[in-house]
Amino acid sequence: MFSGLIDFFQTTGFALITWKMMIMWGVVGVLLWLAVAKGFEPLLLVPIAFGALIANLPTRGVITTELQANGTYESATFLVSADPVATSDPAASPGNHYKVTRIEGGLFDFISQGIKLELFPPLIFLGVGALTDFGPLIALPRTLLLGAAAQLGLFMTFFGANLLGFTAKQSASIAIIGGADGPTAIFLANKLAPELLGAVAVAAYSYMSLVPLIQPPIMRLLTTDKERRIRMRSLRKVSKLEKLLFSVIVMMICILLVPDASALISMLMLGNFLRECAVTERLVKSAQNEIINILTIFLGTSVGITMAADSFLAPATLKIIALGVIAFGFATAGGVLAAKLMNKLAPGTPINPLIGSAGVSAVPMAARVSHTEGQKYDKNNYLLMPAMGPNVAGVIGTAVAAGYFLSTLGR
Amino acid sequence: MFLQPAVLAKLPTYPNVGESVAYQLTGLFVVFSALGAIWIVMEIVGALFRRLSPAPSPPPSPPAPPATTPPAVALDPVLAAVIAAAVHHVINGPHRVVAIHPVITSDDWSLEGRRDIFISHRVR
Repeated sequence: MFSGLIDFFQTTGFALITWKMMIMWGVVGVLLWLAVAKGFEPLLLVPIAFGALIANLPTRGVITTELQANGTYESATFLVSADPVATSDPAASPGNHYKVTRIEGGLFDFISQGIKLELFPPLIFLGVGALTDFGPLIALPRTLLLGAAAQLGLFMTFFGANLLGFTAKQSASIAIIGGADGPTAIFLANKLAPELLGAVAVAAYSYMSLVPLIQPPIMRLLTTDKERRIRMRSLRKVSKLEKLLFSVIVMMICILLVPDASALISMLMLGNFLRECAVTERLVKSAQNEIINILTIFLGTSVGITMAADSFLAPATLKIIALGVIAFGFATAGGVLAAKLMNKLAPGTPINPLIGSAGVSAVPMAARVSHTEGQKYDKNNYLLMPAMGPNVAGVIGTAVAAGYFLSTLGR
Repeated sequence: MFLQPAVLAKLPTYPNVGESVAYQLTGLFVVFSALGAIWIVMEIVGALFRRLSPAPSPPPSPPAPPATTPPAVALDPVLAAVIAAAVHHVINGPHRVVAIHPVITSDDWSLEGRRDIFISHRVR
């Protein structure tokens, strides 16, 4: 009977637990604590953490992970069984026609195809577009430059990652963390360095949730008391036609310049056009709610499930976490310094440099940080709407930067 | 200063410092070009819209004489209470309801039809 119990024990999951898995349970605990107790990006961190927990349990029928010859892990692969089919076409070469008889794989082998096939990030951008009001950016278009300047963080981090021994493709995947745009980070990392996907996504979302802690010290360091008190003119009212034109113009310019960003930009602007045209109420509601919510669950868990201990607990992950905060720091500084430079060049219409930090995307949290910081120095200074301009410009800028990385490194 | 596309395609797996810096500068140039182009186009579009939009309405004139105000309607005290409660809920601070006027428009019936159509298309 005793040997029978031992035999049974060996069939259970307990026999397969490793110390690395237990460390990952701790990591999962920290992520859940940040999400649930602290309220940091819970919509994303909860699915990611739960996916990571599933990845670090001895599951069966959930996901397939294989160690590749180059030492990296590939997950979400499934087995396709097929029989050759005889064809009556004499021109067809033999062995070219198969009938699929069975497809074997776990639940997330299939769900994760949404990431592998680059479906989830553009579809999430559809929802982001449907939720975003580009009015503040259209009313003050020069704040687009703040969104561009904040991409400084990406390129500085590319340089740093290179120095730390990452390849060019890996460096680009790490650098995109500075864009503070989760779907874009996942989109790029999956294409250029899928082996880093889990670490990049976790770093991106964790730092996005920590924007209120990371940005203010940098903002204060780079601005004077007088600059923080600058009041900006109230924004003009933007017409519906202007908003519709904006969607089309942005999409055309970005796609013409960086065709590799087409999937992201086109979905973003489609979502926004649906929102602004005011005749597709049902579609907008779906994009703003059902589509983005379902995909967020699938995306988060699919990303989390790539965080298996063997691939996540590597020195590279620590480097990525460190580089991520550098990326955020430089991105924040880039935006603030660009606003100061614009004030030097056009002193007649000053910009409060605090809104420059919102160029890092992280919509709308970064804009709220600008507003909150501004109110610490002038209680009647309302920077939220002006800060939304660079904030949404940052989304476009990050997508363009991702397109640049893809077009130059993705071939 | 900027890398040519042919060079970009050959960016080595481990670029040296010079190649890396040139790559970053090119990337920043591309991002600024894209967003700068959008900026210029939107400034032009915005200027056109400002020119085409009607001039801002003059400042509000002094209150019109009683004869031109909407016809007085016997106000149901329950309705007045509901409106006051709604105002209190929204404003959440000291307030005073000065006047209550019915909205008079000439296209009430078409508005009602439009509302009906939208309700029929709403996901329940």
